Amino acid sequence: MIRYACGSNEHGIARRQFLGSAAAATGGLLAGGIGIFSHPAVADQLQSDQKRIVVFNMHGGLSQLESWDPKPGTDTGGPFLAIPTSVPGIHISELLPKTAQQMHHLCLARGINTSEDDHGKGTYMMLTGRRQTPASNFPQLGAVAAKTLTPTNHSLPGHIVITPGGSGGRGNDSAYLGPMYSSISLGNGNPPQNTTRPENLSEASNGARQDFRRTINERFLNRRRTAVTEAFAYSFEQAEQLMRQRDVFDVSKEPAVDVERYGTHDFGRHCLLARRLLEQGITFVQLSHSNYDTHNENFNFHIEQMGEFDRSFACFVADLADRGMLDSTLIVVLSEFGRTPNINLYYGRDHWSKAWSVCLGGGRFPRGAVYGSTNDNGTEVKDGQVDHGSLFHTYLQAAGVDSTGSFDIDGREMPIADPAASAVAALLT
Amino acid sequence: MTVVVGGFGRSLLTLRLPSFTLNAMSAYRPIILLVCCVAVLFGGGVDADDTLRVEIDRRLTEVSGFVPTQFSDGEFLRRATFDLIGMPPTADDARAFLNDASPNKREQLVNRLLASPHYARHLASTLDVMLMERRAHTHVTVDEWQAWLLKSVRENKPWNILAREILIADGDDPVQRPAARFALDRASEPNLLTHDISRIFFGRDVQCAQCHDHPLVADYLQSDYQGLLAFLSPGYAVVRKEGEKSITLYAERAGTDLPFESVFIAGTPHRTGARVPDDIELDEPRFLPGDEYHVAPAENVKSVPKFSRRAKLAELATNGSNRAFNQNIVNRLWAHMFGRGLVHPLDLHHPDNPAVDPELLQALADHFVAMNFNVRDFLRELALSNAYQRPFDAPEDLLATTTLVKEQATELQQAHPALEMAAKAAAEEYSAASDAWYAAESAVLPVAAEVDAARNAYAEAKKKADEARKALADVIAQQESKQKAAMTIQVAADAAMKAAAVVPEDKAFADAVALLTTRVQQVTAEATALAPMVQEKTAAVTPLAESQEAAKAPIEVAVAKYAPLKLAQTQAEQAMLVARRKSAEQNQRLIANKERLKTIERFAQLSDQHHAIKLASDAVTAHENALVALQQQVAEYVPVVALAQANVKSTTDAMTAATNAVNVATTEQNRRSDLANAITAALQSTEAAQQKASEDAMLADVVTKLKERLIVAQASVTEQQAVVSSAMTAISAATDAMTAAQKSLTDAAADQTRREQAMAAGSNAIVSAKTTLTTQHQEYSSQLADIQDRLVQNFSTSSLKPLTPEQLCWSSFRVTGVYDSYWRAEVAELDKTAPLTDEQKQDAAFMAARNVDLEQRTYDKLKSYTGTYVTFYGAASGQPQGDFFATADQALFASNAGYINGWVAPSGDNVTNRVVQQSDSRLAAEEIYLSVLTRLPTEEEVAEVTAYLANRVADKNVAAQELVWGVLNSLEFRFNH
Repeated sequence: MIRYACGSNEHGIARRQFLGSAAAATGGLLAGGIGIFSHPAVADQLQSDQKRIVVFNMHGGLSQLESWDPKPGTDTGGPFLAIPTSVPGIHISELLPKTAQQMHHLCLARGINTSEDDHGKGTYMMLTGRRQTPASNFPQLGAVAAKTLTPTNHSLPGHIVITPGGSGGRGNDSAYLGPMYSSISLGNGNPPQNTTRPENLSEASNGARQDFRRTINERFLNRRRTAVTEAFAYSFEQAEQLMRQRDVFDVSKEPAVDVERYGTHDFGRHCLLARRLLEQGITFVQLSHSNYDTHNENFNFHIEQMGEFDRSFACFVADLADRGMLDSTLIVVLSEFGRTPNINLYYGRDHWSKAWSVCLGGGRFPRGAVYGSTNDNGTEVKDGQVDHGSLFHTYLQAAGVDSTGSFDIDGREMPIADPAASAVAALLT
Repeated sequence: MTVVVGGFGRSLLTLRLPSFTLNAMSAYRPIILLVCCVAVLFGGGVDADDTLRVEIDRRLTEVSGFVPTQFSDGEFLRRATFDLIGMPPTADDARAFLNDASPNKREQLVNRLLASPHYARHLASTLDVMLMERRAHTHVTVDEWQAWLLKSVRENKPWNILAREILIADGDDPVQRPAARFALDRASEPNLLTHDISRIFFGRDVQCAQCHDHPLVADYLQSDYQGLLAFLSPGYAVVRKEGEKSITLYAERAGTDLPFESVFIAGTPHRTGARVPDDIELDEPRFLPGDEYHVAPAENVKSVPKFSRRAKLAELATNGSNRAFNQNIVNRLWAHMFGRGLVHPLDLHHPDNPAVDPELLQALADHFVAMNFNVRDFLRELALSNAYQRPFDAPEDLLATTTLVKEQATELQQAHPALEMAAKAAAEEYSAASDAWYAAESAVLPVAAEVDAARNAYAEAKKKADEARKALADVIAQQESKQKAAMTIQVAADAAMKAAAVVPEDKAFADAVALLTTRVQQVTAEATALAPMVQEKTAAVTPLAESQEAAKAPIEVAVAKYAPLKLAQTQAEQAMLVARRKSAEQNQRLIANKERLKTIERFAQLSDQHHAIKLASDAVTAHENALVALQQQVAEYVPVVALAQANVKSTTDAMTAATNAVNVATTEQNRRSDLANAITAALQSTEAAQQKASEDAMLADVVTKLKERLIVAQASVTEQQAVVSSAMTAISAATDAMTAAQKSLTDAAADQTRREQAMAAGSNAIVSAKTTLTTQHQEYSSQLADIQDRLVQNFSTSSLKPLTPEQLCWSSFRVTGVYDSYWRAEVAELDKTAPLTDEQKQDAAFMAARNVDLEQRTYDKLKSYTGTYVTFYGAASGQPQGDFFATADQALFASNAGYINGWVAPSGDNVTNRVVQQSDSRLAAEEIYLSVLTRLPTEEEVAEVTAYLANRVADKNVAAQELVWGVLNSLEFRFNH
């Protein structure tokens, strides 16, 4: 196991275990309206072909130099070569040979500058499109997507986070949009918590007690029927629907040949689960690959990690393309930041937010394109500089959401994305 | 005596602050003191308190126009227990209370609950959630914080003291360190603290007014936000190392004015000092730069300014004179009991969102201040008001219960234009006053900048002078140190000399003396050598000190210029504040009038609707009655038609007979004619034969006989012709009769058809009248639903009150018997480790303390479960916690997790087991409903449970478990309190 030097929380915890504990489920609020009875602020934007988003969170900070923006033969380039891809003229790191063959489906933004080298703050910015301030909290991309893209009364949750470990539960990531849009996490890819009937409770017995509950509720509703009473009564119906549809979350239902193709490691399984969830109509899926915080032994570590990622990710992209899902499904591969061009004494690279890359695909993103570039040794953005705020707008617009609109939260207008930023036109077709 | 005092107290307490002038504000405290003295002197507290209950009911009845019935003992027991101790009563408690015949059992119950250790636990938990909104701990542990809150509530610490302790806590005093959690666990961040203090302590969510005036709430100004921020912006977190440990404290710098500008209105700068909500800018002492601190900020040091804005904020907020602070807390305590605030949402107090009754809110605030912010006493008053005891269901006959009548609407409508004008005038006055204030501020700004410049120049001069002073001090210190060293060596030299004198032959001593003496000379010389340096540094200080001193004058000059302008601004602000309050008050009156009018209109509409239903219903009856008559008419006419039909038949028959007769007669006539014709023919043939044989007598005889026969035959024909003719006449008569009969049948049939049509129309009229009635009923229902909402909003009926996550957890423990079994285990444990002596059993104080101990022990055993409940049912950390939400994962938790499923399994004497043991299904149903919902089941519910159990004789324990689970997860358990 590689040791990390910077001593933050993220580093002390074994790889693959971190996100599980971070996903400790907490509640949310109702500011977004009363659950199922509130309609998305942008309901009229809903289209019959439901748009979906999948986010690969390269946890810890993926090195752009060992992935999307290699600089071989320079003082900062490290030992790896750049290889040609399926798109003439675009080269990426030799650590991603399979992904290189899918480049015609993808596009790269190589001019990211977020000016934030702290793990927590960087993650917050990349997932909310805003800088964290103590007095305010913003919903993450998944919550925004769930609210704006999920058809009303969809029986499945719209915001799923696959965590490397943990027991699942509801995340604390929807801020004022309320718990209806909080993530449901699938701990190590397992189905949501409490979706199986206890062993000692028969189906008949459960059916009987639920019927009894409905009967007495019906009487109560005749005395007082309001949005909150309806919402509470309905939550039990939703729960039953979710239990009936539990297979949606069961990756073991996927063919063995696919399991083999994607790789039998956790990340492979999670990618396959993501494919399954998106196919079944889940609006937003976030999964992570961990941990890229390579202050030591950056190169050895990226050989190992990128190898795992490359295989599963390339399968995933190819499958989505094969199934004709790319037009309706956005792919975003992001990190909290990139890594320093400078190679430190421990053959590591440190935190670097000044010039790094994200990989995008599907939706309105251009196919087989590169936007923005860095200078020869990758120390500065040369052109096409973008930050977290404009990326957030761009993701949403690529999924057909007017990111300049607002949510109406108890009469308060909350802009969907940071009004001070705007979408990157060159990244939208 | 008490009666007089009560009256006296009442008249004092109902004194309202007239028009919020500053004079009135300062006159306010003596009134409170006087009331308190009266209450203390004469033990008239109860009477003084009575006025609050009475006041509440008087005001609310007037506002809602609704004389409500009180809810039942069962409902009261359940609600009061839930609201005061956070969990429902047991089935045994319920039976005892229902069977208690004592007339003031409700009051006794409330007193019992307020004295219970669970009361402190529940209120502390409520305050925790309100104050911290489930934020994660960073500097003070949740346990320490909750323990501090719990201790405060157990001591019944007045709210203003509690709030003051929280607002001033810096975390340094170990006893009060938990109170600093409010700031420390908000990272001591000024904007976050401004936002939360404004919401939680003043009931105003001014976040949107940070960068501009609030876009939606006209009354929330950026200057309000910045004014409150000015109290908090000097605060910061400082880490102080104490040996191995380091401790984070909430330190404070000296305050400065805050410059700000609206992002919407560029180029219009503003500047403010500290300002408490609903007050004017603070006039605070200003110190010369460098002179602001008792302890100046430095690394590892908690700075202490000479003037602490934070302390001032705490004082101004909590001294009883700040209306916003006082109204906020009474509104929150009200919501704690009633499920919603008089102002709702709780953090949106502003003139466009007035209290259900602004006067009541103010009265509550006045009373609360007068009772010294005593939360327990205040809650008792709320619990014992009739308003609190209003039922969940609106009375069946709303109209009979309301005192609102249409006539009042006219009065209110007539009052409306005047109120509208007054509101408009007040708003204009406020606007003008506001402009004047801004103008005064504009005049201040450049001069304030001059003061700043002068102060900065002074600070610069002081800095330089201080540096010179420091250099001088350093040299002097150096010199002194050398002088001191010389003196010390001299002492040693003297001692050596004495020794040398004793042993003069010892060379070593002589050498030592020589050495020491030389050193003394050397060091003294070094010290002396520093003298020019001292002189030089002293000389350097002088001009700089003079410059520093000289820099004071410009400050004084600038301040002299600034002071009158600032005074003018302050006066303008005072004027504005008065105008602002007046405008707010007028606006509230206008809205209150509108709302009352709307309520009356709704009731009037309901009354109209009710009338329309009556009419529609009458119409149905009338149509039904009419139909009966029409049916009668149709029925009655049936014989007439039948008769006509019979007539037609008989005349037709007669006609047929007559026709037949004609036919017969005609046939006869034809026969007779044929005979006559045959005779004629025979005669002619015979006569022809006679002419050929004229003498043939036989022939002549035949002719003669034939002639005779012809005559007879012809006569017969003629005779028959008369018969035919007469038969023909008979036909004609019969035809006429038949025609007549047919006509009368046609007429009768037409008549009957008309009658039948009328009957059909009558039936249709019934259908349409019934449709109208249905429509009216539907309209009435929706009207009623709307009125029911209003009834909830103005506290005429009780509101839906979802259980908090903590209540849900403890209530589930309570109704499933888990709580009581843990409690009994703790009692057993205590009985074993510390058996009670007889003396102790008689000692009420001892027993009360033991109860507190038992509560704590039981709580400690079970508290980890609340965390799980908060995970599922609580809103996110740092978000407002009051809004209800329901998600599928909660229902999955309730349905499938081990928790509730385990607790409802039959065990010991829990409710499930009691149901299993109970052979009488009615009693079983009672057991379930009393235990879980604190009420007896209805007949329908008894029948339901009976049927449920009847089918499940073989697995009754499973069935009982299902029933208990069903009720525990019902809407009624979740909401109805």
